[in-house]
Formats: sequence, structure tokens, C-alpha cells
Amino acid sequence: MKTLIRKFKNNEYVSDSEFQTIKVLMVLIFLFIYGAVAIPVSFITDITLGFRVIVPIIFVSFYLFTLGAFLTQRIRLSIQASILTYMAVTIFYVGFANPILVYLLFYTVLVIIIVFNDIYFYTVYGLAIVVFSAFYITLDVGIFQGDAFIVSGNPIWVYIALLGAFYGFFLIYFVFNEIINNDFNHEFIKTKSHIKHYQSFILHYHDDIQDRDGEVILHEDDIFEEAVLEIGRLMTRNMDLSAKTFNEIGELYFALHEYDLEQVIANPNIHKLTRGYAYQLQKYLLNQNNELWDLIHDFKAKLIQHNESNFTNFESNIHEIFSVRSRRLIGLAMMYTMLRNETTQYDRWGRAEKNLSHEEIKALFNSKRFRDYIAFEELKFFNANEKVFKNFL
Amino acid sequence: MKEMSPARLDDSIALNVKHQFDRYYRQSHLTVTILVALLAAFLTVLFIFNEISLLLTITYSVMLTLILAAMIVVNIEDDMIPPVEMVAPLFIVAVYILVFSLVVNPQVALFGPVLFVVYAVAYLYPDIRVSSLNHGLFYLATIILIWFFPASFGLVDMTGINTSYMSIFILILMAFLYISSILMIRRKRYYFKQLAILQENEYKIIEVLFGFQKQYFKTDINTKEYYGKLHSFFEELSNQLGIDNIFSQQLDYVEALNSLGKAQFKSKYPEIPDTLLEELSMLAVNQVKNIRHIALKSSQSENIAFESKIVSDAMFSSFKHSQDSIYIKVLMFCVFYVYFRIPTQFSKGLSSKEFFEIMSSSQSEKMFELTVWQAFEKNQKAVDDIFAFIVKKRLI
Repeated sequence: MKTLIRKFKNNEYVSDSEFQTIKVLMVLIFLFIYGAVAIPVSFITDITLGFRVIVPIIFVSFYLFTLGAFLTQRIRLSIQASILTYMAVTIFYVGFANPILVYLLFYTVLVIIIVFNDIYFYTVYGLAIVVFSAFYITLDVGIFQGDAFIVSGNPIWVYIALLGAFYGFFLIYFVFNEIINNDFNHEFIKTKSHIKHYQSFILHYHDDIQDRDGEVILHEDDIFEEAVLEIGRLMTRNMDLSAKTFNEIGELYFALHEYDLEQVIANPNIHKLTRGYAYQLQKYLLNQNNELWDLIHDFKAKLIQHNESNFTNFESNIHEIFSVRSRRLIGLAMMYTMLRNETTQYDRWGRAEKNLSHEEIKALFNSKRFRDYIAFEELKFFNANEKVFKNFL
Repeated sequence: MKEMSPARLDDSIALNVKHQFDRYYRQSHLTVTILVALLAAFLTVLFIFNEISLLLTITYSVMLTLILAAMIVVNIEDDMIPPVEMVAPLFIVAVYILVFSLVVNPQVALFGPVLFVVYAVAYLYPDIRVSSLNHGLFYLATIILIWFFPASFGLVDMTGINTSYMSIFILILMAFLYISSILMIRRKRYYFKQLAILQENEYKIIEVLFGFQKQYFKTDINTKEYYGKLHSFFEELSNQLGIDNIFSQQLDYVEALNSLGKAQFKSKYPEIPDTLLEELSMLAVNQVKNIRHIALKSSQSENIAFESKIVSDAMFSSFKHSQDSIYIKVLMFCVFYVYFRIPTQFSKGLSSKEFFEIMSSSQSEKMFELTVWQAFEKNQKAVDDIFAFIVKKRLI
């Protein structure tokens, strides 16, 4: 929980499950208060023994089950259990409370489900509550209290319509949220994948340039290694850690660059601890497009500034970027020229040295994914004038 | 290229976040407008069913129509119309007042829980101000109704204790919903910020890639030849289409912008409006984000393999994975530090001051475990001295 509070304070990424953990904790506190108030009331109220005994037992069992699921980090299970616990207490009230009050409690059940912000739980459990309330309002058998609603003075359908509207409007909210979240996820993952791809190109050029120029590769550079190990020893000593252990792990790190890591990790002849460190280090090797390379480029990006930034246009589609057709066509021609004349692909030998041919550009322009960059209007123009593109650009 | 000051970085990201959030806000407002229209339809049916007097029906219908019309109008993006964010709280207040007056009006005596529906409508706005207003107004209206107009909820024979109990109960529930709503809005903003940072990084990493390409191929883009080709292309195109060459002058502007830069271009061509300048600068290849970057990005569109997955912890690279040993966290800090400070053929290396300042101002220190960063801060002088001593060996 401390970590979560720190994450919130530092405005760090809080995962869905961590977010739900906080909510389950909130609902658990609420349920505890709710149960603590509701159950003693039953002893001074005139209700059947069945209700007086069974429902509190159900409540306590469900509550403990929710708590157990929460403490063992089964968050989705604990969400469902907490919803069912609340439902159980509400049905408990059905036994003795004013039917209109019970009707209002149905809203609160929906509210508890809304807190979790989960479309699946809301659709299933929320609908169950709405259907149950429809029976509760219209029927007059057993626990259903139709008569009480008839004498209330309002038409029966108003009760159902309002609860249905409340449920429906929040359902629209969830669907809307889901659409926004999907858009975000798609955009985020797409951009991340693109960046990973550029970084792969950079790594190729980086290694090839070093190789061509006969420069020493960083992970083989004795000065680099010495600086890393010496600084690390100083820091570990100051952190009351073992400088000797640090040195061993540091040497292992540089040595691992020469080996096939998969084999090292899978090799039973290597000490378990060493394999464990190798596993942890694989994402940070200097010669791979991995997490270290990501973080290095994140930081490199922070070092870049142009005096005249035009990073105010967040679109990638030339149809959206430019307001008139003439500039859209200039944009289209420029894109074509660049794709045709600049290196953007790996060749068959895995070198990042290939340009796209006219036919490849044509196929690319006509692909579905390319609608993110040009609209049908520009595509139609290109297809109609492709010979001029091919011969002049 | 120059180092980026934190203020500039924040400006650009804040602008992108605002852009994303504005779009999201407008979409939310559109949905709210549809829901208010549905609510209006519901109320109309209720008026007819309850045989409300014609005058009252017309009065309320006109008021509802006016609110709806105003909500529709603000969807139009125009300088003359106030932005949705500014007027959304007013709409919420107006709908609450209208519905509340219907509930307490003895002639209409609308059923109290209609307030729940109003609450659900307003919940859609991703705005902390609107959310606070919504929860506050809902609670206030409900409390007034259960204390002074309990019949509106169908509650009769309520004792003071029962009503107090209900008031506290609703307060607790509202507090839960309010916290939940605030967390959701903040989370959304956080996501938008992450995306903005990522989008900005993307174009800068392409910039890094262009730098490597230049070094690898030992050649840079020949802008003269490049714009020359475009001139010939549009001349031929205009001939074939039988139109005047409307592209030529714009290309001249782009070329001028490319060689002069924005500031000088503006003083040379003061007649060019800012909006046009923004568009032209997208066509100038020396800008941070321009058509060259977009072309490179688009060239990878068929190479990228991605499925629509959920954004998770695993997507945020970091040096502080909880399952990693503290020794590895220290080691990675050292690798990162030396990587950026050591001179190589690709970089002259950052000075100690530059490294520390950029790390702090861009909040990049957050990618390291706090204890590791603190150990560095505490021993910065010694770390710098060790680094300087070892690197000096290479020069000798």
C-alpha cells in the first residue's frame, strides 16, 4: 500500500490491478461500516428468524471471503465478492425495511459497482439488480412488494424507468470510456512499437559505424568498464552494500555480452545465483534493442531541442495537417520523394540500406494502415497520376 | 541541436495533453448532450402522462430546449463560441435547477430519484470542477428533498433519526463516488501525458535516427535537389491537368522557410499568417516535426507488428523493477551515467553539470531507485572525480 501511495504522490504509472486494489480497500471499509450498522438493527426489528440468522451469516462469510481474496491479491475475485456482499446486505433489508427505501438501496448497489469502473461487472451485476428491482416493484408475492409501490401515488413504470435510465446512462458512460481507453491503448502501443523499430535501425547503424571505423565497442571498452565498476564500488560502499558482490555482478554483466544469454540462463551447470543475475541483466545489455536502449533513447530525446519547434501539430495524416488541397498534394509528393529516395527498410541481408521502389510505395499507399497518413482523396490523386510521380520524383 | 530547457519541454507536452483532453472533453460533451435529450424526452412523456397544465409544460419544455440548444451550439468550434470546458458547469447547474424545481413543484411533483439520472449524466464530464459540482449539487438537492420534501422520494413517516441516517449514508456513498471519479479523471490525464511524452519522443528519436543515417551514409539530404524535383513534378502535373501552377509559390515559401528559419521568415514575409506558417513549416525539412519524419514513420507502417493489447507495467521501461537485485539497480545507474558522460565518436559526452541538471529538470531521476539516486547525489563530487580520473587515462 505504501508503494501505491508513493506512486500516486509521484504521479507514476499505476496499473489497473493496483488501481482496483485501492477501490476494493475503500469498499471493504464501507462494507464493514454498513454491515456493522445493519446487522444489529435486525435484532430490534420484527423480521423472520430465517432472515435474522441466514443473512448475517451470508454477510459475514462473504465479507471474510472478500477479505481473503483481497489479502491474497485475487483482486477481480475480491471485487465480485464485495459486490455480492453488498447485494446480500441489501436483500437483507428487503426483509424488513420500507419498500421505497429498499428501492433507493438498489441505486446504491449500482453505485458500488460503478466505483469499480469495470464494464463487465457493471453489465452483469447491474442488470441483475435492475431485473430484480423490476420484479420487486411489480410483483406482490413473498419478498416482492408491488402493493407498496401502487399506493405510493407514482405510476409503477416511473420507478422502473428511472432505475433503468440510471443503469443505462452509466452503461453508456462505461461504453464511452471503453472506446476512449481502446483508442488510447491502440495509439500508445502503436507509437511504442514504432519507436522500438527506429531504435532497432539506430542500433544497426551504431554497430556498423563502429565496426567500419574500427572503434572499440562500448561493452568491450576497458575504460568504460573500469569507470562503471569503480563508481559502482564507491556507491555500494556508501549504501552499506558489499562492493565485492557488486564487482562480481558488474564483471558478469560485461562478460554476458559475449554469450548467448538464453543458453546461459538454461544451463544447469552454471550456479543458480549467477543464472538469476543473468536473467535480470538480459534486459540491460548494451548490444541489444532492449529496456536499456529504450531508456537511453528516452533520455536522448530529452537532450534534443530546436529553437523553432513546430511540435504543435499532433497529427500524422496529411489530410488533417493541411487545410487546403494544394498543400496536401505538396505533402503527398514530398512523402513519396522521401520514401523513394531515402533509406527506410532492411535489405535481404539485414542491412538498413534499402529504399522503397515505386511499386512498393504504391502498395504501401494502398494499404489499410496507410490511411493513418493519407486520406482516400490523396490516394485517389496518387493512383490517377502515378506515372508523373514515378517519372519526376 | 541544443539542449532542451525543461520549461520548453513542459510547454510542448502540456499543449499536446491539452489537445488530447480537449478532444476527449468535446466527445464527452456530445454524449452528455445526447443523454440530456433523452432525459428531456422522458420528462415530456411524464408531463403528458401526469396531465400537467399546458402553460407549465410549455415553460419547462422551452427551458429544456434552450439548455439543449446551447449544449449543441458549444459543440461548434468557433472563436465566437466559448469553449465547452468553460460552460459545462453552467449546463450542469441549469439541468439540476430545472429538475429540482420540477420535483418540488406541487403541480408536477416529479419523482425524486430523477436526480440520480441527472447525476449519471453529469458524471460523464472528465472535469474535476464539474465532478465536484455534480457531487455537491446532488448531495445538496437530495438532502433538501429528504428533509423537507420526503414525499418526493415516496418516503412517509420518516423519523428524524432515519433521515439523519440516510443523510450520512448518502454522504459516505457520494464521497466514494467522488474519490473514484477524481481518480479516474487524474488517471486519464496521466495517460494523456504519457502519450504526449511518447509522441514527442518518437519524433526526436527519428531525429536521432536521421543523425545516425547521416553518419552511416556520410551524406545528408540535399534540399536543393529535393525541392528542385518537386518544382519539376508540379510543373508537369499542372501541364497535364491543364491548370495554373498553384504549387510553385508555396514551394518557394517552403524553401525560404527552410533556409531562413521561422523567425527570419516571419520578418521577411510578414503577410503570411501564423496558421499558414505552421502548415508551411511542416513541409520544411529542418523542423522538429515535419513531413520527412512522417514519411519515415509511415514507411514502417507495414513492418510494425502490434496487437491491440492493454497498456501495462511491462511497457514502461525502468531501472527499478521490484524483482531486480539492488546491485543491478546500482550497476545500471553507473552504466547509464558513464554512457552519457564518456566521449565517443557519436557524442562528446555530457558534463557533470549538464547530466545532473537535465536528469533533475526532466525528472528522469525517477527511472532509478530512490536510494540509488540519493547515493549518487550524496557522492556526486567523488563520482565525478573517479570518472574524470579514469577517462583521463584514455587521453594519455
